[in-house]
Amino acid sequence: MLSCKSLLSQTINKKRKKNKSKNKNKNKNSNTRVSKKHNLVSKTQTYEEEEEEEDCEEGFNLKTSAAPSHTHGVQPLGNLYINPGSINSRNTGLGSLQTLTDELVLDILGLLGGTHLGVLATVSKSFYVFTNHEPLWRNLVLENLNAGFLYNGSWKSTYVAACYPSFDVSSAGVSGLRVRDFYSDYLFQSWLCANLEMKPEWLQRDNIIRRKGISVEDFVLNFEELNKPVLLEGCLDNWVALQNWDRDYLLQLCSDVQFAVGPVDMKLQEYFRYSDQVREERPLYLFDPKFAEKVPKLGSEYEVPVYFREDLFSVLGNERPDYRWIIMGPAGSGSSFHIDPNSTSAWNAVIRGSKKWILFPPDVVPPGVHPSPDGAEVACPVSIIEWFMNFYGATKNWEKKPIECICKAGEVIFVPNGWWHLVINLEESIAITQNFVSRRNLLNVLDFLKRPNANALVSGTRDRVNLHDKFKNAIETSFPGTIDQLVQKAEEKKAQQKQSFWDSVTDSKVGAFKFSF
Amino acid sequence: MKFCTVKQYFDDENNNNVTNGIATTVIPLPNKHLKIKANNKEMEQYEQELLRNVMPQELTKLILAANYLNFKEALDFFCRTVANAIQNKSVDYVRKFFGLESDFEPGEEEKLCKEFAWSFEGVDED
Repeated sequence: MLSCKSLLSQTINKKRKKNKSKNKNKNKNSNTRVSKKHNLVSKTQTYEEEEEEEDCEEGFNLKTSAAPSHTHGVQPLGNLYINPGSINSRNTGLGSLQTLTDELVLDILGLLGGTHLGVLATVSKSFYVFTNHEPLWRNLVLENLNAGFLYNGSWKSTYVAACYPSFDVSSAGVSGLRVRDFYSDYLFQSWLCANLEMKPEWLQRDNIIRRKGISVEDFVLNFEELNKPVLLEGCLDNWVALQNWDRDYLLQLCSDVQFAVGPVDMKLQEYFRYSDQVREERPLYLFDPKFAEKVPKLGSEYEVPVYFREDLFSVLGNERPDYRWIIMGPAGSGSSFHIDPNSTSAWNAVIRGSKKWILFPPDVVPPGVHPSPDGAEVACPVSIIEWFMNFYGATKNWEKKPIECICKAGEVIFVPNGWWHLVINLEESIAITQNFVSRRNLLNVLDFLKRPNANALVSGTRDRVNLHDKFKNAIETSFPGTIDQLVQKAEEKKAQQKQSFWDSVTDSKVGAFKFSF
Repeated sequence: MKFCTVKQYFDDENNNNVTNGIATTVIPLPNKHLKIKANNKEMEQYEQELLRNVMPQELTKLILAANYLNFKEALDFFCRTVANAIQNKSVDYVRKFFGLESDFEPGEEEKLCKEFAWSFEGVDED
């Protein structure tokens, strides 16, 4: 189902056959709760590294500091077919494992420790390439070294430096062995996604409504109540953060503070070291819900924009779910399609850098996304870049086009509850985001928390099961009668809608029907 | 339902993905799982017995079958079996196990052994 276009220069034949082969691959759930469906790339994907990377409409641009080809010389399967008589050293070097898909081979290797992977690397060229697959080493580091590690150029190098400090990683060096005749779509695609720039045409569409200086009433009436996204300008002008927050300032303030970065904690300075060096498909980003508790000054240098001040979860005090995060990430980091937890709405303010947003309304599942029936699990393509490569094009021809925009420093986007959204940092970015409940979506949230599988879905709090009751009682205490009022209003609205439907199906010109006996 | 693909498999007459021998091994597994659900140790013993004498090629077929049938527990188990079989073993052992030969150019292998010298402590004797 993937249709990866090839990296072309103008001299390469642009005619591509739409001959897509589909392999049925299922990835095991590894560390994440998200299961991934990964199909192999078109057989005709080819790649010529010798050609110059000219600016071609159909091609992709690699990041400026990327190597011109896969580190170890991996080529996509398409190249095998244009080299008649070639053997695929992937297969000969795997022996009886060769009939397995790349993902299954990696699944097996993922069960091994670092030393075992190191030994296997010397078995054959094929094993060398597979065992050098960076995500394997990333998992080993994140699972085993969460006490602390210093990113050292690559995850493998990081692991070796941490576990074998006496071994001189730099002198033995990365042999940088390049294998010839190794063809694999999965491994090539993985490298490609780690090294691609965003294509300009993915960034062109900007159809979100923008407003500046509107009243709170205007916002509530025309956007919040209608559950419509909007980009608000000029409401961060008084934020100290906007003036102050750059890398130097933050390092000066809290360089040794531990922040949450994916599944581990890292000191801020360690995180910047990682984000400077990283080159991977899904870069880790700093995403901490306790930043204001850890560094009160950070909390004091921003304030909630006036439109979002109604914050009903605050009635729970310290027992409220996580509700505000600082986000720092390198270019390419971000979040693939998801709906925010607890049925809350959100705002996201960019302080430095810029983010590309794609949003779909609650009833439109984005292409390439597969939520499980209860909504507890969502399956998405591996990375954001891969989604753009393989699914973005589909949205051009859809009737229900997504809402898109680039949010720049000083701008805030409102993400209404239930909306699917994808975000990618276009450059190193710093942002603040908060989720909230107002009277406009209070009933939705209560309904969500009441669901039988609430303990799986509800997030950001330790006491998942009782959250509904606690919240409802707290609201009744602080704002007595509110819930009843809202329920009544909702029922009135529903009744009105029913009436007009009835009107529309009866012929209002004819007189009322009467029995006449 | 664990076995959505199984019905399709039985309906499919010409099924090359899962040969009959493999199917007889894989398919009874979920019933056994249910019977000894509470007792993990017994399940482990049953599984060890099952795969004691299975050759790597058979294991590969089992993995593909479990993958095709979308049977996660069996897939995990078979993959773990392969991993356990080669864990801590020498390079020569692994090559024999999978039936392959070194395809490095002269000199490449030495270079690699230097790069991965840190990993060669504590390897099992064959």
